[in-house]
Amino acid sequence: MSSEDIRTYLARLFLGKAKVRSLRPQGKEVVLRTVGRVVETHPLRPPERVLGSALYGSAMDVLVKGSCISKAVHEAVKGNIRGGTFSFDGRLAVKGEKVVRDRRVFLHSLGGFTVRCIGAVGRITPLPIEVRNRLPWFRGRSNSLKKGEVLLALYSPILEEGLLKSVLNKERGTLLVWYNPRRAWKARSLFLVRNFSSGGSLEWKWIDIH
Amino acid sequence: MTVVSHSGTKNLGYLLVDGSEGVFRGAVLVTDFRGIPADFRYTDPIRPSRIEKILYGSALDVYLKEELILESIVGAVEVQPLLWVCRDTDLLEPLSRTAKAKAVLLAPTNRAPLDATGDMEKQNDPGSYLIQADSVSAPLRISLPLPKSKEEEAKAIAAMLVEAAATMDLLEPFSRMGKALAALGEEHGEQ
Repeated sequence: MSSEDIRTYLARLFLGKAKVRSLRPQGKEVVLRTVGRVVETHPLRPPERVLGSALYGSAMDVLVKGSCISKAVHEAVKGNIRGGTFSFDGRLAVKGEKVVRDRRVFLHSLGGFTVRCIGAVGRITPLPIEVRNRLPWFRGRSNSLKKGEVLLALYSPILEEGLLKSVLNKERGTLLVWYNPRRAWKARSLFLVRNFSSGGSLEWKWIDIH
Repeated sequence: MTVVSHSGTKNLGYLLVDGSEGVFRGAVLVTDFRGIPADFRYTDPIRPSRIEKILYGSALDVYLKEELILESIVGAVEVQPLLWVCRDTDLLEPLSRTAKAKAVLLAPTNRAPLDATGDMEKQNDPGSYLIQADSVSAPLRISLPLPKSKEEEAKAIAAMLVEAAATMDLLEPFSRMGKALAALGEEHGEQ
C-alpha cells in the first residue's frame, strides 16, 4: 500500500472526507498504438565482406604493375611510345599497407555457411620443428658414453647438414630446430651429455642410432 | 640412425579440425618426409549464431567439421600428399571419402616398444594396428577407415610411415599447426 493510499484511508476514517480528484484533460495526451507490426529480417550469416579489387588481383595471381605519373611527364613520354607496353616499377599499396602476394583464397559456400580457405605456407615455414627427447626409449645408452659422461637427453631425428639453428627449450625439454631444406637430408641423433670429467659442463654429441 | 632420404616428392598431409568453444576452424599442413612444409591452408573461424545452432541442432558439429570445413580445405590443397593423417576418429571416414589419397588416424601410445622398427601388431579394434615407426619411440596406433582396413593396406601405410619417421617426428606437425593457428588467431584479434 502506498503512502497516498494510507493518507486517503486515514482521512476517510478520521475526517469522514473522501478526497475527490478530477481528471483534467490539460497536459494529457492520448497515445495511439497500432497493432501493426514491422517485420525485421536478419540473414543467418552476416553479409559477405567485399575485398578490394587490388586484393582480389593479388589473390588471383594477377600481376599488378604501374604507378601514377604526373600529367606533364605523361605528355612528355607519350610522343616517344609507338606501340607495345611499358610499366613503371611501383609497389602496390592499399591504405599505406603493402600488398604482398602471400596467400591464395578459396571460398566455399554450403548450406548458408561460407568458409574461406587461406593458403599461407609462408606463415608456417619459419616456425621451428620441435624435436622430442627420445631418451626414455633409447636402449643402447651404456655403449655410447665415455667415462664421466651422463646422458641427459636424446634428440632424434635431426637432419645434421641442414641444421641452421637450434634452441633448447628447457621448460618442455624439447629442441627447436630450423632447417635449410636444400641441405637437410641426412638424419642423425643428438646427445645432450653432462661431462663430469671436464668439470660437469654440458656437451652436444652427434651419434648414429641403428 | 643414418638415413639419407630420397623422398623429395613424397608428402604427408595433416588435417586438423577444431570445434571447441563454439568456434570451428580447420587447417591442413602438407609436409615432405622431413617435416618441411609444402602447403599450409587454414579456414577463417566459423562462429554459428544461436539461431543456426537451434536450426541445425546436434547435426551442426558434424556438418561444419566433416562436410563444410574438411571438404573445403582438403579440396583446396594444391600439393597432394601420398597419405592423409588425422588424429580425430570422427574425421577418418569423411577424410577417406574426400581425399584422393589414403587416409589414416595416427595416435600416440604409452605401450612398450615393439621388437624392431617396422613391426606391426593387430589390435582388437577393427582396422587398428600398433606400429613401431622408429627405434626410439613408443609404438604409434594407426587406424584405417573400415571398408579399406585390409592388412595389405595397413602394411603399405606402415611402410610409408616408417620411411617418413626416419627423418621426422610423425606427430610433430600437429603441434606446429596448432601454434600457427594460435598465432594467426592472435594476429586477427580473435579471443
